[in-house]
Amino acid sequence: MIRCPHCDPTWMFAELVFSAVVIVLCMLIFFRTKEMYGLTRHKGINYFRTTFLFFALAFFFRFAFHLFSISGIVFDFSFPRQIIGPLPLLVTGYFSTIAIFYLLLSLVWKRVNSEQFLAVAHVAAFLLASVVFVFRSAHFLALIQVLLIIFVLILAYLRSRHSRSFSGLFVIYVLLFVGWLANIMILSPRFRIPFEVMAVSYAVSVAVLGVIFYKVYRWTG
Amino acid sequence: MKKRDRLEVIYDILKLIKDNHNSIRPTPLLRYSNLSSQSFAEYIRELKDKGIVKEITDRKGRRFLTLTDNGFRYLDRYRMIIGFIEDFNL
Repeated sequence: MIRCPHCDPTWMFAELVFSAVVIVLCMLIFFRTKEMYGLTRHKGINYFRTTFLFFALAFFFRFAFHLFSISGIVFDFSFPRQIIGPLPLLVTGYFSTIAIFYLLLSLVWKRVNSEQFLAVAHVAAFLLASVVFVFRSAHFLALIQVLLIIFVLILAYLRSRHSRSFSGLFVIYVLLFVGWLANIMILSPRFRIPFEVMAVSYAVSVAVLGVIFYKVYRWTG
Repeated sequence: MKKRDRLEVIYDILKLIKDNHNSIRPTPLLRYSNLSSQSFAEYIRELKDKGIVKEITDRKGRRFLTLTDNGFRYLDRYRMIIGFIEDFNL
């Protein structure tokens, strides 16, 4: 069944719960690895944990997009949609793209100049988010991120194919990104996804982040 | 012989300090750690900056290296840290 996501209370409630759970899981991963990073100053750990901080921010602003959309219904005032409407798309686009770059860097930091990589990554993420903001196209954001994600997955595959953790980590990253891409699509005003499909993508995202958190908890508990 | 990575070298240095009643002079520590004097100095400076080891001086003015609480915590968590890094291919 296809519903208008911003008018349906069930959808909004699901969004609220889903966003809260995802943000909490991402922040738990970030804070659980704080001591480990403090002791070692290991760059890989730093980039890994920062990935989840940026994912949490991306999900926060993604939910903000929905709040802005219903502000006229819930509150007495409504934000000017021409300005406020695409703004969360800009911020979500920036934070989610930079999160993918950080995850990529956590895999390749020994082989690249991290400072240069991050400088380029921030500029690229900002440019991408700006283009998305101007054209208001979540599809464009999703398209570019798909290419980035494919690159990350190829690297994850090459890095881990001989290790014991290969199958688990690779599958986790694939599912994480599939879930994320479905989450981006809902940001597009013209895009309608059946509630049931979105519910499945939410469940997958939460389950994957739950598995990542469990793996982190096991090593930091 | 496999080259030790950074975390392993730090673990070895901290273990040497701990196994010497948590107090060892820099010269024997350098000898046991199998590092060049330049690398050793860099590691010790880094560990002091991070608050993992500290330098103490006895009444005769001799310098000793000793583990801080963070140093003991590093030793306790080392296996977990390595497991985490390997698990996520970091």
